[in-house]
Amino acid sequence: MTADTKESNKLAQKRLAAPLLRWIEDEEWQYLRPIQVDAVNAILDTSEDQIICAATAGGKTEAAFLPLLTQLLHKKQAPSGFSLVYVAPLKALINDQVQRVKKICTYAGVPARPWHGDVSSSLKQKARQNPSGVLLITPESLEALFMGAGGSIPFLFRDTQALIIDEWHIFLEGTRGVHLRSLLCRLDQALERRIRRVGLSATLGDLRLAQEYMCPEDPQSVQIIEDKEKRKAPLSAKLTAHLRSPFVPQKSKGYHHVHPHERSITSSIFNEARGSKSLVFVPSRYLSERYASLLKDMCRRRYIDNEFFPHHGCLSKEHRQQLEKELKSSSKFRTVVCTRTLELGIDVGDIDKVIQVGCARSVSSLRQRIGRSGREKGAVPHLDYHEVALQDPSPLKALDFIHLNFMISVALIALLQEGCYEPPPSKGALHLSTLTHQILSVICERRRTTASTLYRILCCAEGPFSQVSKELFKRLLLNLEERSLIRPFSEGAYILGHKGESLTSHYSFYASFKTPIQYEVKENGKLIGLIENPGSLKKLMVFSGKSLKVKNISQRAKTILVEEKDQGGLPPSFFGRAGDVHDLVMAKVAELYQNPKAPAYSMCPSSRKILKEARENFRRLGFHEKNIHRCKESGRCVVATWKGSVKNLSLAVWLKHLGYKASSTPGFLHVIEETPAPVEKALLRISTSKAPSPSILKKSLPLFEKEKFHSHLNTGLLYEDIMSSQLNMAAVPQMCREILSPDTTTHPPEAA
Amino acid sequence: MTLRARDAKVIVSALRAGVVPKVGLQHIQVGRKRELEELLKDLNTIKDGASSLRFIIGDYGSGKTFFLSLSRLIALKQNFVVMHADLAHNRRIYSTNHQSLALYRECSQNISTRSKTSGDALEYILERFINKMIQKSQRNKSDVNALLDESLEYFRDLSGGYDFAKVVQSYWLGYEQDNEELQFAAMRWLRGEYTTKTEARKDLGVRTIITDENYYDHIKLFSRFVKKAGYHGLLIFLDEMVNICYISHRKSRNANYEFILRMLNDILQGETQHLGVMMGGTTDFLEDQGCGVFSHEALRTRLRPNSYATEDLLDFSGPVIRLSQFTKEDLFALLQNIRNVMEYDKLNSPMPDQALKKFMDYCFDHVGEAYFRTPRKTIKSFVDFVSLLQQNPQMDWKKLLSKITVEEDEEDSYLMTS
Repeated sequence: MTADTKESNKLAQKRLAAPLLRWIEDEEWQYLRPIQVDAVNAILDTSEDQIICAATAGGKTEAAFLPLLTQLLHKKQAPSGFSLVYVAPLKALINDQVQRVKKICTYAGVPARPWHGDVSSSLKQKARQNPSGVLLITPESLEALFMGAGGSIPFLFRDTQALIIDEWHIFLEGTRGVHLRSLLCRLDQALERRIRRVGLSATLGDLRLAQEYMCPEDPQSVQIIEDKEKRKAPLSAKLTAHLRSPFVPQKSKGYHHVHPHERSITSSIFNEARGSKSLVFVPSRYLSERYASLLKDMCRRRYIDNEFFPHHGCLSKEHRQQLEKELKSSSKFRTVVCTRTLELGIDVGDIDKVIQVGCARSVSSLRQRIGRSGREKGAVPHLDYHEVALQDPSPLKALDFIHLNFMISVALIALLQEGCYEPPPSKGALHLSTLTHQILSVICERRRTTASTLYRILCCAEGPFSQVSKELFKRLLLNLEERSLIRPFSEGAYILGHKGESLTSHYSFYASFKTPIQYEVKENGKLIGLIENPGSLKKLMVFSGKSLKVKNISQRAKTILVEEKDQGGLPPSFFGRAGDVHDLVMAKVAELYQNPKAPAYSMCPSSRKILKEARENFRRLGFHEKNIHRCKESGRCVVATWKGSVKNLSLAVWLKHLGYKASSTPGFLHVIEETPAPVEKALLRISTSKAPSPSILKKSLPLFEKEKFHSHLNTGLLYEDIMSSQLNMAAVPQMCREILSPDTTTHPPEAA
Repeated sequence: MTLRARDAKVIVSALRAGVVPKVGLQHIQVGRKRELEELLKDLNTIKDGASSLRFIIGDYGSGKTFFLSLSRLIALKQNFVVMHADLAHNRRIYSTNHQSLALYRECSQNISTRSKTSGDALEYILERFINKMIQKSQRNKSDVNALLDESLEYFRDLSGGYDFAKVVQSYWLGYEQDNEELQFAAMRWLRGEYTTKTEARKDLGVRTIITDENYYDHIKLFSRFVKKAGYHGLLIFLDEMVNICYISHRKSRNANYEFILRMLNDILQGETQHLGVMMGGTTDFLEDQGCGVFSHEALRTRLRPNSYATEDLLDFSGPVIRLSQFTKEDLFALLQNIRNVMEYDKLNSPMPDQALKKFMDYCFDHVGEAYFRTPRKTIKSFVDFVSLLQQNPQMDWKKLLSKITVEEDEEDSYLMTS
């Protein structure tokens, strides 16, 4: 630490209130971290919004709370209502943070009150009667507060000085983000003033959008506080390829058949992670259970205690919390095979190794994952990446032939090292499902509302529904009226219709995201997890890291009774969809194919071989010269678009609309057509036309994952919504021009 | 009926703000003759010991609140004790969450008698009861305590009556011993302001307090009590009943209707004495099949209109009184009355009736047919019109008329215009 930074550190400490300094002393902190110094100065100097970016456990929470509590303590008048409101996406995260925040709060002499679905109602009642201090709440509970006690909102939040939003990056996408932004906007309107926002976030790709989401009125005013050194911090990675045999083993061979690549991945993980605390990230819940069980078997064969456990969203809370606790504080060695559940900010302490198995599909999430390790000073975060590649691929399957999946992984690691991340999804989506949710909520809150009030509250410029025009809003209301969700009552006001009433009277309404129908898996009467489709279950299954014998499936009670067995079985199948791949990644993939240089991280010999083979086969198929490859034997054309999932899908939809049979995978399209000529013609036609309207396109749209309230929309609204959120028709003509003239294709888009 | 200058000012400013004036209603009231006759009949039956429950139903702005306020004044004049409250989301007929207790508290705040018309008359009523006892004892030369005990005996057998009697007795003891604290505690209890039983037990020695569940029993007790105190009975006016429709939880909404049914049954079957309840609500409140009174099957069958009644042949004997639509003639008479109130000091040269006619024509041209049916806004702009004329006597009313704007009555026109 230089003298200069020491000086600024001291100055920043001096600005904090005395009780907080005592806390720092008692915690035996020698100094504030650079990010905390910046945050203290920024928060105390201005009244602008801030986004504090740092890795998990990088001291973000303190960076926000210390200066904000200082402001609170320096206030002359005692504030009424909650002074600070902390919003986090997970109940577990709140439970975790309450402990930390409470400690600081005791020094500051203000209470910290957790508030979410699992907090007892007597505690909530207490907090409501005597609102003060710091409120830690989930968006869903905030929603419940609006709906149940909308009238008391101005009283509860009268003097709220700032909103601290943890995991701000989570809220940049998906329905929950839209939901939260809508709630914050409603909160501002109820209080008739804007509350300052302080976002805590992991390292973000495109900060502009994060700023815009936080303050759409004036994005430039949002200050970004981040550790500049960390952002470009070195990290090491190693890619290992595992060859998959093209022969699929027969099912009749029983449950115990293990593919050679599974075996080799398992033994790699075993060798790397045994005797440490590690996280193994896999793309699906199925694989999480699968590898955990293979690793457990391996332990058993070697007569050692099992150290490998699965962790994903379908497992019981107890199981997950137990694992998190063991990772964080016990002396036992634990390796957790997890899905993206552990990517979020739950504190699991210092992790020795992070291993990725299979394609991560997004650089940002890979960055999050790797951020779990290398926390000690001077340590370089390290990532072990295992990817599967097909052995001796045949040119009949063009994408396997050029090892596309493997190359995406190669590109992901390369981008990770360069520090390029995907920008958050751009605005433009209508979010009609969430808007429906909010319409019902506002009517519930105000008991009756006119259409114009609804429009004013929800579709204001600061809110997430500013894209919705008056005309569209009117159509939506008429649609909801038809479906008995709302109905007009006297004086032009809307109240809830009978369907709306039954929807809103159940607590599951508070969440804007869909909760699928799930069966509870019970062992000896204890809930161990949830399974979505019991139809696929065999007699024996692997779940929650155990081999289980299925005793009884009750369709009515939606329970599955199980009994533990020694070994055997396969995991149940889970629903779910792989994440989108961004344009940025595909551009990098294209570059990797064209550029003969080896990536700057270490690769095992077999992965180097695969890379070489991929590049050779790429040329063999002629993709280096033209983007349309004709595959004579299979009677189809493979079109290289080099775009991510969204744009690719848009083009496929458009082609379908023109009568072609097209299907899309990231970066490529398959069109069933003998020769490239008609495909070229179609692309040429598209490149000069305007995007067709949703009503014309609706027959060509594939089945989409539906959001919670999509089932209440008529087809017109539904397709309009889906097109706005999952497709990007406007970009398609330009994309076609690029495909037709290959010279311009390989310009990677500007990375953030 | 002479008009006092002070009342005239109050009436004008209230009309201007679009609310019903608290005094002098008789100076502007027009029509509603049959309805008022019906009210007087009701008051007579209540006086005789029976009870009545009425739904005053009329469309938005048709003068429900006006009618209720007028009824209230008439009842006060006739020596009734009157309570009134507006329903709201936190004041419900039935709830388990202190919302109906809040309604009871509101009622007991807004309790008036002839001599104390502006609320908070509980103390007067208690004093009057005690004075009556004292007078009686002086007349009969007997002990007041014994007399009090005897007359309270009547309450002890009723539901919740034991503690009620005890509280009234405590008030008397406080009165006798000059213990204001005890008197205050008794009044606090009667207003439903005790929140814990322990506290009430400590102060008054009673085991119960007024809660969401038993507040109606206390109203029934209180109606008998006011009779004993020398009034004719108790009338409760509940306005804005439509708020029940806005309860979005179906079960709690139905529980409210269930409670109204209970009250209706009690009153029709003569379970209660000297009690009148009047509930004001819109047509939607009564007739909406989804969330109105008629969504409750048992209430619907009881409140179904007389099938022989027509628009000319009105039946007022059922529990539902529908306020008839305002006619043009009614509005004309109303405007005349308002003019008279506003120009009470120069009745020799009032504004000509012709001006009123022109004003009405003007309203018709700008707002359409609805202007006389929901007269609130029309009256408001009329008051503006007249007061401008008063302040600028040199101005010709014909010229001014074109400048007046009459807004359409509050309605969301967004869906229609956009």
